[in-house]
Amino acid sequence: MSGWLALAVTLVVIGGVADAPGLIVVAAITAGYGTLTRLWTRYGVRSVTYERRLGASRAVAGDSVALDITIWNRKPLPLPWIAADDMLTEGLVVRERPDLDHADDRQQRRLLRNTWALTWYERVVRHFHLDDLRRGAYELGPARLRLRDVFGRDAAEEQLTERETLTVVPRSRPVTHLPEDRSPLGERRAPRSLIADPALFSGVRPFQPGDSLRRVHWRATARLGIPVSRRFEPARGRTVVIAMDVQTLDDVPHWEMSYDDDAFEGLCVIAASLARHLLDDGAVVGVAAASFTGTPQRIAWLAPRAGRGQVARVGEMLARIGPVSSMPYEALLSWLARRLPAGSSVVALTSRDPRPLRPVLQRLARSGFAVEAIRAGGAWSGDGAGFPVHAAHLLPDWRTADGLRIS
Amino acid sequence: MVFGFPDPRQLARGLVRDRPAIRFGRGDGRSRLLPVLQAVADGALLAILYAAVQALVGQRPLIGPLELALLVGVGMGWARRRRWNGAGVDMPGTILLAILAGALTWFLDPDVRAALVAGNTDAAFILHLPGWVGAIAFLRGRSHASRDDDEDQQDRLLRFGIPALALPWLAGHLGASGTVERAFVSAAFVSTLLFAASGFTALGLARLELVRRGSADGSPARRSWLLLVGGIALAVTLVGIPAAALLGVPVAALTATVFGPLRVILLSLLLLTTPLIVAIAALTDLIGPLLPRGIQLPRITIPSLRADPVEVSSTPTIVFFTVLGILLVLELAAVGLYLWYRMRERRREQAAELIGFEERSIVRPAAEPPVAAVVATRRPARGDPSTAVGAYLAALELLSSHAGFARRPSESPAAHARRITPGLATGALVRLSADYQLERYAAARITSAERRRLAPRLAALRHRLRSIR
Repeated sequence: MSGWLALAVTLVVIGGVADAPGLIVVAAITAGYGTLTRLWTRYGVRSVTYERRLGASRAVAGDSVALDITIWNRKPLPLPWIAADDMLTEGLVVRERPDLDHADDRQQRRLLRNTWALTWYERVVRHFHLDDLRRGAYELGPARLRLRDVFGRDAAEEQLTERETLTVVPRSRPVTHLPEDRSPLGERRAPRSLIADPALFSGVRPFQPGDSLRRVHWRATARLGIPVSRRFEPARGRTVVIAMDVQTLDDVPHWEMSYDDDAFEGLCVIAASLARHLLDDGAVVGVAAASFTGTPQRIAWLAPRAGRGQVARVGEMLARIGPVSSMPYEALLSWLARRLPAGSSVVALTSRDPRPLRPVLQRLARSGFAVEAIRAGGAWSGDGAGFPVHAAHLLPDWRTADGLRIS
Repeated sequence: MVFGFPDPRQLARGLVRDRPAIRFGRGDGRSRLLPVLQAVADGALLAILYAAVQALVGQRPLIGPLELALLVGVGMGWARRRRWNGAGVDMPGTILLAILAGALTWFLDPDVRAALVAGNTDAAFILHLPGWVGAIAFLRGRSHASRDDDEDQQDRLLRFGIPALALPWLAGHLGASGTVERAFVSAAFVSTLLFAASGFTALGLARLELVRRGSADGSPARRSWLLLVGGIALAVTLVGIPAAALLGVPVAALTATVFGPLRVILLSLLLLTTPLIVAIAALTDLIGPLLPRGIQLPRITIPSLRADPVEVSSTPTIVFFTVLGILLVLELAAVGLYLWYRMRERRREQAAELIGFEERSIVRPAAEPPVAAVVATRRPARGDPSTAVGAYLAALELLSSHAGFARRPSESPAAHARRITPGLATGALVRLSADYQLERYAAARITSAERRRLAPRLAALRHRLRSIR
């Protein structure tokens, strides 16, 4: 751009030497053009704030979440044309922009394009809505700001690296058993026990006469001003781990990236519903799946825990897994056998033909684990299996089912 | 919070009108304006070249930018025509029209016409040779065949056209003098301003249109357009007024460009309103006998196309002007009402489109808070003993040249001071490091008294190190 200014100065000099004042007019226009363009190149993106705000960072499949995009020109220089290309993970449906372009430089990304013309100190907020959310972990960002000068020429560009994450957890449905099936899944947590597990600290309670001084929580006592004692979880029997089989097609090797999307989504809904049901029932629940969760780890693993907070953690883990298997399901079950203490319950959840899995599950049962198997959406004869066998149904389908029926 | 953007369910039921993003396409005023501006820019550039050539041959320019713009427009229209597209028509038609356009501008010289009437064809041809610029204007217009190239063409025109203006200006100044030079300056000045204004506006418009096609929402284009036109008008005014004063361009030259087309418009209006004037005259004749005695009735002559002024009654009556005035007021009121209604409709539609979806506000950012902490933690010049950090760093530099006293990479300032203080037999480093830690780590300001002690402590340390050596 300094070339324009140099040219203008040259014209002024020539005009002065040749006594041609008309050249000064041309020089003024040349300099004006150069300066005007440089104005936006130099100061355009300075003091421009771009903000992306999600109504919620966590949602349930099928929800709508508000997305506010704010741009603020915090300087007196008006911006004739500023555009923001915001990258969104594919799968998000923006109500106000039904057709989003593909990002050129990133796979599985779409571009939410916005353009504005901003006067001095103007702030514009656009309210978008992300509709019909599907299970998954979505990323919004990074964004690229592009600025054009008053003549429409590209003036400046800035990359904004801030990202937002939206986790969409699968729905969980109430679980119903057939009347004749009265055996609960997994192991119940003991509501009370004579023996408390000192490793499972669960809070404090007022001091009672007879409490050991070693049980007094001195820091909490000092803070609250009244003596309080530690409270522990009662000792439990077994924990329940839902081992989810992400492979959804029979006779397809695990490394082949083909899957039945509906079957996988159904599995996620069943896993979430089961986890909630078991946790409500007082069980200690964990989840394992042979799937990637956006990290290099090949196994998605959520350690067993009790309490309502585990429902959210299970949902988050189920949101992050994908339908592509990272290892054979049998290998996952073997890994669980090494990971879990003997006596834990393992609920094998699959949508495939379970007969090939029977030897592995039987080995687990013989190793001292309480094995139960659930096949999603199909019958399974468990005669002679050596462990309880169930079938889970989401009727009419995983999207609209009112409940999960275990038979 | 519920926002007012049309709900798909409501759209399906027909409760809400589905209005896509604001559109302006081929039929929009801005799109129609773009070729006009391109033609004016091209015409103005050719007018400058023509004026320079005329100046070089010692003639006053006879053709202005608007005439040439008209011919560029004809060429553009010919290139973008939808009929007679056959190859057998295109080339002969182009040649014929170019010759016609050139001949038209050539004929504008009265000397040429006189020579032709006198039968002196050869002399006529030589008389106004630059007048054939009309053919170039037509061919230039023909080069605008594709709308998709508008942006590229305008960019090239301005990128190379603006600096290239210097050549005809230089040629005009150097090749002419006296009245011819003044005529050249007047013509070239107006054409230059027209070229810059229309060229930049056309470029901006072409780019806005290009960008708008690639974006989902077109609303920013409206504001950008206003900004563009306003900015260019301001720039042309800022450049034009002092430049006109510098060049000594008469006001008449500036106004001629504006009033030339205005004169044509007024003549057209006069022709169009002739029936109205006749009707008014008839009306006044009819009501004449009803008027009180003593009021003079006029005799109105119908305007003719003759060049001499139209004769009108020397004593126009109150009745005539009253009727004419009322009609004018009514016409103006109708036009005003129509414009107001259009504007109100447009605003209502805009508001309906954006309500709930977009919020605009002017927010001045709050003043930045005082940056005391930043000042306190500012990195001082290395070795500057006026600050605790600078003094401590200077001390470290002194100590680094003594084996055993240098600070180890894993050592904190306090640990370092504790380790070497027994060997130094002075507490200067301990105090320096304490001040350093206060200023650097706690972002605290040490007192002015403490700051005054920094230099003596550094001097004491230096003295002690000299004695050890």
